[in-house]
Amino acid sequence: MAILIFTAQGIILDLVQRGNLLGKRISSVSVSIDDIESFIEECGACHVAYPPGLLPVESWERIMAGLDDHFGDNAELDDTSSEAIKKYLYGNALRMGHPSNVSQMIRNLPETPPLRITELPNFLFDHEDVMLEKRKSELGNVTLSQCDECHENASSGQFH
Amino acid sequence: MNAEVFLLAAKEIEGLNHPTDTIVPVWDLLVRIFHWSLVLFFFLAYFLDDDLIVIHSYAGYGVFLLLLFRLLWGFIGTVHAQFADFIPSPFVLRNYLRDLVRGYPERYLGHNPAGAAMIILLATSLLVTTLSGICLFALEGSGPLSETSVAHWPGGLLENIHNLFADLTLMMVVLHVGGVFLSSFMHRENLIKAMISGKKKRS
Repeated sequence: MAILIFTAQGIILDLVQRGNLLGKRISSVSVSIDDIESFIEECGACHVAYPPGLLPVESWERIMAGLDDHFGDNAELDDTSSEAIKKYLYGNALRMGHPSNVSQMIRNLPETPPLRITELPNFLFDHEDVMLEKRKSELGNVTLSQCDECHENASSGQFH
Repeated sequence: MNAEVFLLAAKEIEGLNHPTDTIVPVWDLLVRIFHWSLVLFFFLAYFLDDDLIVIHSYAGYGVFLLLLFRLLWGFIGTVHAQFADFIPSPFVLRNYLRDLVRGYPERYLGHNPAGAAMIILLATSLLVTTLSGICLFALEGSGPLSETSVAHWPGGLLENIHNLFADLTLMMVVLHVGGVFLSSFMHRENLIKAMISGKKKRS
């Protein structure tokens, strides 16, 4: 009973603090359209323009610091695009306490978060069935990094 | 006083005390608001899941707070809102179910034993669903338990529990509505209307 009362009290606090319904879905960091365009142009040239909300800042920082060996490829950028992309990625990264349609990806993150979205604990949990089907070779040629093979609107952050 | 007059007088008194068509208040206003808000918030939460997680969480909070209110109201509420009025003993429940199968269940003014059992199961299932949802929210750094050790609980297990009990609740809602229709039909009364107006025929 005490737990229930404690939780109820917390809910009321949360409701008061959150106040506006959609405030937290929008990033507080101002990102210009140009930043987003650089991101889509540069990163989206080779793979799905993964929505920044799928990885925490720590992961994006490590990825941006190692673009000369980007999962085996050289993906180095000029300084202007690099800065714009960093601004966009870091400002919209996955973070605690920001409910969104992808915020569940932050559940049970290890101390050092992975660089690959496909290694996030929540990703693995949500894609157990896909991995099973892959083994049965129905999806044999698709790798899990190709979100848009199944999620049409992946690059706009819609996965359901 | 001759026998005939006595009998008439007796009938009149009986008629006054037990009029068969008297409409009496059964469900108080708070019980009715609770019931229909619970319906609204449950379906909101059920159908607006991952895509509208903020609205989903508000609806879930609504369900949780309504359940807490109902728990309290079960002790201090009006006659038929009280747990003591409707929580059946296993013996009473068994006899009621037996009579139901035979086609002549006793009519209750408040909840009948089968309905009461359904309500307890529904409320328990909703409580498990909302609590596991609040725990999942804590894993994402949101909600009342976000600063507690709950934030490190296993997300996969919690999500399975959350989904399982949400689906169980939906199935129980279907059974609950089925029971309402069955009971309404057997006793020739409109129980849905009664949960809106709060009133029922005395007998």
